[in-house]
Amino acid sequence: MIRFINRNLKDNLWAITLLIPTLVPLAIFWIYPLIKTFLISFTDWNYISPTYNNVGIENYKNFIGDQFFVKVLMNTLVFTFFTVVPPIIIGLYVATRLNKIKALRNFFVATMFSAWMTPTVVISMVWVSIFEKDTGIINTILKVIGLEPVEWLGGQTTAMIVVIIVTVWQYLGLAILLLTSAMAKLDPEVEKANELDGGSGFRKLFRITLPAISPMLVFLFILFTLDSLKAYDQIYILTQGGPSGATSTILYYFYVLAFEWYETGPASALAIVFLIICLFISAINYFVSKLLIRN
Amino acid sequence: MYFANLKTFVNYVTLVLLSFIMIFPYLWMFLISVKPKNELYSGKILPSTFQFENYIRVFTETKMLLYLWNSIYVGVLIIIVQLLCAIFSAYVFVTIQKKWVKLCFVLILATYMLPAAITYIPSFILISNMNLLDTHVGYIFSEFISIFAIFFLRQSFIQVPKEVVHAAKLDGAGHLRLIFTIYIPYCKNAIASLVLITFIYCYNNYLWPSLLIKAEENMFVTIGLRRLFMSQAGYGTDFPLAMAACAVSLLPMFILLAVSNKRIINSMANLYVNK
Repeated sequence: MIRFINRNLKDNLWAITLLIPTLVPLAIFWIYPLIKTFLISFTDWNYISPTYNNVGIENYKNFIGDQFFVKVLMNTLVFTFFTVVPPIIIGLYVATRLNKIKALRNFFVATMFSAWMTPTVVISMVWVSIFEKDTGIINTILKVIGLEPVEWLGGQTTAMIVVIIVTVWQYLGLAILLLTSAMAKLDPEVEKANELDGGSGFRKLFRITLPAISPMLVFLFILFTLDSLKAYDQIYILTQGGPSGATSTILYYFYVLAFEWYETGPASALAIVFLIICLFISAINYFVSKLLIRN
Repeated sequence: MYFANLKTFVNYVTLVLLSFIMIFPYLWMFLISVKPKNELYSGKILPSTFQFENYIRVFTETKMLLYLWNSIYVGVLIIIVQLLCAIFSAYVFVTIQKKWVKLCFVLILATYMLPAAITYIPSFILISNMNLLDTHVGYIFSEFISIFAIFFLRQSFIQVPKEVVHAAKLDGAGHLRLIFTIYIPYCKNAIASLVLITFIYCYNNYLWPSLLIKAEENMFVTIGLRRLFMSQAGYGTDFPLAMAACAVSLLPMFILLAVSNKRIINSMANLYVNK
């Protein structure tokens, strides 16, 4: 009995000792900031002044009438939609091609995957020079075929298009890698059976391939959605959220509010709104995955 | 037969074209970096001569080497710290079945869903109150744990066979000996993948470190490059120099990919598939 209690105590002590290096930073850099952000979001604190007032839900209420906030929400929606769906569709196409060849397959995957590995900040600079209005290759080509050069990063719509292209390019690297490896695990017998049944390529895609890799599709969908919501680096380098806010997303707006305008109170409220959106997406992920596993 | 060959041929052509699009930004970066300055506006895509002068300028006129050194040594320190924390806590979560331990795990699970941005303001104030703003120590401190690493290692620690652990326990192995002689050697592939992923993450990280690090001698590659890129924006960016600097900054990634592309690709694929 005594030995058992001793062992129990010893296990607890070991557990505490081994967990402390994790729990202390977790408390300092995750749990405390989370609570603190929540509390600051009900104040009008501006970081510089030593005093602040409690303003209740004023910061949250202000978002409702704020035109810029609505614009930012719309931008986030557009940016997220056009950066999540295209990489998955193009990725599916490339993955079906890749799984039909044997030689050089890994080489192709590695080449395309490098996009995902390179720092977004660095590669965004390269894209700036690709879309540059005088020296960039896109405008050079436009001039050669007799079209007017476009000031890509200067126009509201074109700037958004460029930011989307850069993001899609980067996501494609991962989409191709993951979809290729998911498809490689499919049973070749099932495909043969479909061919013997006289099934077409389309039937194969919608009846066999897509259902079989649906967990991966859901996973990519959620991963890219969350990544797009958190996108900052490429927007900062390419457009700084401009022109006139045309490429500002929620997270970018948060950064400007918090670290350029020092509107700490409203910025914290925005962070909480952002958190709720992310939790909502995670909840969808959870339920859809459950559903898929059951089927 | 002829038809099948044609299909394969079309596949390869499509893939080569797509690969070309995917690596085009790198090619463009290289082309601009070796272009003589007076040809920049000439409208020709290929330079008449390859001029590597800009690469020399990257090392003499900018602090690129310092940025590289900062990124690499801070990255290595963060890998060590995060890995040790993750190994210890993953071990506890897998082997010690107590109510409060499970509660801790649920707590960590809950934080995994949170976007890091929500912690930025208080963490920033905290680090500035500790007088650690603009120091590497402050940054490393704020990146002390990786919740992802804890999950990832827990996942692979679970797969260590019970019999092996039991045999070691009968031999009188304590917790530390179990960790270092059973769990770590058994999961060395997972740990190697984690090291690679953590390094890539640290090297590419921008937003949070850019808030903390302001002095030039403390800058990491991503922050230093942005500064180089933006500081000239008033006079028009010196694209050849900027592109040469970008190329240099991608070098560690390319070396990594060249040396261990199989491992990176496999671990990336497994990482996401097993989650």
